[in-house]
Order: sequence, then structure tokens, then C-alpha cells
Amino acid sequence: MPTITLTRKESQTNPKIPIEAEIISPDVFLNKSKEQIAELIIWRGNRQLPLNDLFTLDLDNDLNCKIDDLKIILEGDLANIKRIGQGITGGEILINSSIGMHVGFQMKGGKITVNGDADDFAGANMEGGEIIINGNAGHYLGGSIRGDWRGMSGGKIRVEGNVGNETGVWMRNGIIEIGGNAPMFLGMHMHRGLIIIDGNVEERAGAEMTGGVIIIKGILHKLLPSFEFKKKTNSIKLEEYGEIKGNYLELAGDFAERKQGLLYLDESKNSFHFKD
Amino acid sequence: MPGGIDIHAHIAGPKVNAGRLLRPEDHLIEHFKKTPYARSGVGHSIPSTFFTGYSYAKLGYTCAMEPAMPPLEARHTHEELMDIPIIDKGAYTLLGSNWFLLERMKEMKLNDLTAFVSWLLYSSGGYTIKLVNPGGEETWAWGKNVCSLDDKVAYFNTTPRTIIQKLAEVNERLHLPHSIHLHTNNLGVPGNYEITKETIDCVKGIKTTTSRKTNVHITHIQFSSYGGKDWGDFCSEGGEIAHYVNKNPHVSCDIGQVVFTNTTTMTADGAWEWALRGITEHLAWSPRSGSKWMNAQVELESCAGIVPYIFRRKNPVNAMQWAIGLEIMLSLKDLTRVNLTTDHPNGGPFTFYPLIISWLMSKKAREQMINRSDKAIVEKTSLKDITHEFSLSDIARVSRVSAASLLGLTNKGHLGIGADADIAIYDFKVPLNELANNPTAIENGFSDAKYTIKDGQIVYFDGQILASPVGRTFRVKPEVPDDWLANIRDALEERFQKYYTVSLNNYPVQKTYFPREELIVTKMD
Repeated sequence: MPTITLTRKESQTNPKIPIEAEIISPDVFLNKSKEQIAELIIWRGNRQLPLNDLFTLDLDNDLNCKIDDLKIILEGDLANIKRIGQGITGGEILINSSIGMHVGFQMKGGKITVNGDADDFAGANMEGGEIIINGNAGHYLGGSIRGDWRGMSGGKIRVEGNVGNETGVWMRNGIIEIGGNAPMFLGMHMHRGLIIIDGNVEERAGAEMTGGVIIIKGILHKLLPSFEFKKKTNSIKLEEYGEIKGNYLELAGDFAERKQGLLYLDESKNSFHFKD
Repeated sequence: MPGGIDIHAHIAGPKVNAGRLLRPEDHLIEHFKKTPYARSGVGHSIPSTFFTGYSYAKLGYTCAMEPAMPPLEARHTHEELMDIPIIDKGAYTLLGSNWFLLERMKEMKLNDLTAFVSWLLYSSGGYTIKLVNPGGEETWAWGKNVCSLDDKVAYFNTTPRTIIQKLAEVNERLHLPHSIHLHTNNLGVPGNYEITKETIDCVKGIKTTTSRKTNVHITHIQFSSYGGKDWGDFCSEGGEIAHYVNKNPHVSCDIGQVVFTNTTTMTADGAWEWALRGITEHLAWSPRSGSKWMNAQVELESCAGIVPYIFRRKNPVNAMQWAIGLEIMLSLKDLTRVNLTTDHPNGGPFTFYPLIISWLMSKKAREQMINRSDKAIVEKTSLKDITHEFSLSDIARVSRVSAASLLGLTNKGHLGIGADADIAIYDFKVPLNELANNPTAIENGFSDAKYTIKDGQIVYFDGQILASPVGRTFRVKPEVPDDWLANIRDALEERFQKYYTVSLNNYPVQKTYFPREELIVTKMD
């Protein structure tokens, strides 16, 4: 598998200046030589720099291959690097660090693995492919950029840690799996798709949702009053995901909008909502 | 060709700016990087001010008119116009629902009306009288709308018919360079072609007093040419409207052509924008709960609304709207009375003019689009039967000559002696007699002028902005006898003291807002 490793050079000046690195993508690197890649232009603050001013490059093979065979590995301090994997259509990006905002923004295919935390807007407006975050994720995970009413429309995101507010906002399709906890507005304005969370959710899950499914396996501390209890169930059948077994409470909402969304809460942990 | 003139494009003002705030995602679709001679900018349907100027220069356009300026927001509008580089510009003052006017309509004091309009046009730095859904704006403040020319305007003893007739008369008495600029009642509603025809009829007898032969300009006429009773049996009456305009030499129009793209609708017709928001609840691209939207009222004067909209080829109504615009344009005989517009950004951004030109010039291009679109075009419009193709001089007429003559800008729209040195040079890369078979060559040629020259200075060449001179601002100063003004002064002062949030002295826009002023002074007989 042709692999290219980019290691962040230690910053000589202010390390907080953000870097817009949408150029680091399999679609761009494909069929390029090491010299060509080293000369690619990257924005750092309001300055343009060649890639090799910021990264050391290490190539295994030449990159004349199919896009899905290409692998990019990123090392070093990447916390202020934004837009990695923006709009990629294939290939793999492995990030061995925490990463800045907009990772996998408008991604169409391929795979991104983050061995660290991801900042806000990870997988925003994503259309396909897979993102795996082995740390925590920021706000607007799998959501939409500012103002857009069409968020994530396909693909899959898996987060092992916690997520921020408004996860899956304006989601139109796809799957988000969360291992940790979530604060407010999980699946806000959701239209279609699936969010499964293993941990606890603070409040306002599914606010203004008009469709789609949210499954909360932990505690939902505050339930919105605009959700209606439908029934108890011991298995949830989902077309694109298969069957989830366990005792769940099924709620429909949000009644503030069209009540076509479904919210499933773990029965043993959430029955306190329905005690008088 | 002489530089292009856009007679109707929402490029500045409070609602354009509100649209920018409402749609940050629009900024992502298109952006412009800074160059040594030009600033950066963003925006697809509502571009930022600098980007607006550069985009017009790229198309070879050198003049554009902002068609809806509430007088209270005139200062804001002129601030933005000042920031738009290169092109010449002007703004039309909204007068359709001004309380002061509506009250005097009732008492029929024509001299007072004339004095007030003259004062307001000059103090707001406006160019002409703009009417948007006359009477409807004010009625909308009470949650209702006017549906016919003889409906009563809420709490005022007047009707849209009176407003249109009186203001058309005032317009002629003041000898204004442009006729009244009218956005008809019931715009966008199925079956509205009848009210459009009635509107044309109602100003028929009013004699023009300038060299211009028209006394009413029906703007974005495509949106006013719909048949049917509801959206289910929506159909085209474009042929009928075109025939009616051909028959009535006192009418001019611009098209308001629809383009299939992601755009933002914005108009001072707040009632229609609210209705449109309701329609978006049923459209696939929009959230199920309807699109985001905005409505605003300007105290005692006007209102406005904004709704993002995506015109889709496969939506039967959108497809027919596209066809209706072209149908009207291609059926009109006198091309000096029609302008090419999209009602930017309502039908689509002005950057799509080259694409529209390719549809007008090439039947092949139209057929390609008909085949890709909903079959309603074939079933319910007559576009497929129209074989007419515009020549390059026809295009020059609809995009330049007609607008200049309708606006009364004698130095524009031609390259004769005394004309401004605003010139666009296009390179089509194919012989001119083969253009009809090469729609992409037409589109590419018009969308990227080889040279754009403004006042003798090359501003755009070979894909690069080379200079950003300040454009002129056209405004009018209609003079009326002093005693007429004196007659309304007391009433005006009282109005401002009692009802307005600003004082009368702070209301008029001062000279500093017109860095390159072109004042057109008109005198009454």
C-alpha cells in the first residue's frame, strides 16, 4: 500500500496561527512525486507556504496507484490544522494526534482515523465514507456548517469518547455512533439517519427533529416536553443497521415540528421521566 | 458593445445585507481571492459589495440599479452602493405604501403628492418611484394582503389602482427620467396574469411628458405571467402577456428570468415571502418544517422578506417558470422595451446572464435544457414551438440599449458621440455566424469579457481586475414650486415629530454619501 507520512515540523514562530490544510488529501496527492507534493501551497494565517516548510515528507512508494490504495499518515502537533480530508473521495488518512476543526468536512468517500481528539465540525456536511475518532469530538460533529440546513447526508462516524453540543445537527442521512457522553441538542433538526449513543445525554436530545432515529443507551437527564411516549419495546429494527436488542422506551417527536422523529431511551435508566 | 446595464438587481441595502446574514452557507459556494488590484469577496446569490462590482465588470456590465430602497434605510443603501466598485449605480425609492402618501390619496391632493414625492426622491437620493405590491405592503403589516386592484388598503381609504394611477401621474408631472417601476400585486401567485393586464390597462391614458414613450415599467414580468387557479393546474400565460405588451406601447418590462440554481429570494413584498416560506414546506430540498426566512417592517414606509430558494429542473412549477421567462422574451416584438434581468437574486444571481443569453441565442441550448427538465414545459408552455433565435444585436438591445433609453441615461447604451466610454469587448473563439450551434461558446464568451472599459479606463482584462474606479451614483432632483413644498412642511414636521424614530433634519441623505454624484434635475412645465 503506497503510504506517505507527513510529520509536523516544530513551529518556529507563533504555533497558534491556524493552518488550512485541505490540500492534504489523497485526491491531491495521487500520482504526484515527492517534489511536487513538497511544493504544494498551504495557507498559514494570511500567508502562503509550501508544504515542506511545515511538514517533513516520507514516501514509501511512488503514489501512482488507485485512490483507494493511498494512505496518508500525519504525525506531530496538529491541533491547529484545519480541514484535513475536506471533500476526499477515497483513500485513507491516519492522524496520530489531536486534530483541528473541519476534519472530513464534505467528505465523499474513503476513511479517516483520528488517534486523538477532533475539534468542532468533524464530518460536517459529510456525504459518504467513514470517520473514526478514538478520542473526544467537538461541537457540531456530523452536522452542518453555519447556516446550512442540509448537514451530513451519508457515511458513518464512530467516536469512542465524548462529543460536544449539537451533534448531528440538520442530519439528513448516515450513522453516528458515540461511545461516551453528549451534552445538549443531540440530533437537533434531524431529518433522517441514525444516532446511537452509549453514554449519558444532558438535555434537549432531538430538539426540533422532523425524522430519523436517536437511540440513547445511557441516561437522558432532561427530556423535552414535546416528545410523546408511544410504547415499550425489546428490540429496535433498523434497515441499514440491523437489530438492536434491549428494553427501550419509544418516543415520537418533536411536536414543535412534524412528529416523525423517533427517540429511544433505555428503559431501566430513563423510566424516571414517567413517574408522577 | 457598450457596457451592460442592469435595470433591476438587488445589490445593496438593508434586505440584501440581511440576506447575507441569513445565509452564511451561501458564502461557501463562491469566493474571490484578493489580487494586487482587487479585494477579496464571497457569496453566490448575495455577493459582498466588492465582489458584486468585480463580477459585473467580468460580465462586461458597467451599470446596475438597486430597485428597492426604503427611504428610511436610504443611508444604509448608499453606504453599500459606495462600496461597490467600478459600476455606475442608482437606487429606486419605495413609495408604494408610504403612510404620508396613502393618507393624501384619500383627499386627492395631487399637488401635495407631487411635492412630497419630489422631496422624498431627492432626500433619499433615489432615482425613480418604485411600487412593490402597491398597498399590499401596508396591508401586510396587519397580516393581510390585497388581492385585486380594487381591494381596500387596510385602514386607508384607498386602493392599489388609485396608488398606481396617482403615482404614474405624479411621475409624469415631475418629468422623471424613468417611468414608475412596478412590481405587480399578486406576484408569484397562479392566475396573476389577469391582474397584470388590468394594471397595464389602468395607466393607459396617462400621457408621458419626456422623450420616453412608456409610462409604466412592469418589473420581473415573468413572475406576473402565471395562469391556472392553484399550483396543481399552474400554467403559462407568457404568450398572452407578451402579446399584451406588444399591443400596448406604453409598457416596458424586464424579465426576471429563472435559472436553475441555489439562490435567495428577497423582496419588499413581505406577504409573498411569507407565502413562499409555506410553499417550501413541501419541497424536497428544504427542511420539512419549511425554509428559514426573515420578515421585516420599515416604520410607516415598507416591509421586506427573505427566503432561500433552490430552483430545480425536475420541479414542474420551477421548470415552467424557466420557460415562461424565455417565452415572453422571445415573443416580444419591440426589444427596446424589454430588459434581460433575473431580478437578481430572486430568479438567480446576475452571474447567470451569459447562460440566459445562450438560451436566447440558441434553440439548441433551449432544447437541451427542455430535455433535461420536467415535462411540464412541453405540456403546459409553448416554448418548444418557438424557433426564434436572438442575434447579437438583439442581445445588445435587451442588455444595454433598452435599459439606457428606459432609464433616460442618454450617455449610455450606445457608442456614439457623447457616450460614456463604457465598453465591453467579448471574444467568442468561434465565427459569429456559428454561435447558435455553440451555446457553450456564447456562455463562455459573455461570462468572461476580454476587455471591460469603464470611463475610458481598462478595468478588466484577460481574467483580471486591473482597476477599481469609483462609479457614479445617479439620482434625481425634481423641482416643484416652492409654495407646494411649503404647503406640506407643517404636516411633514408633525409626522416626524409624532411617529418617526428619526427627526426630520436627520432624515435626508447628505452629500458625502455620493462621492461621484450625477444629479439629474427635472423641471415641471
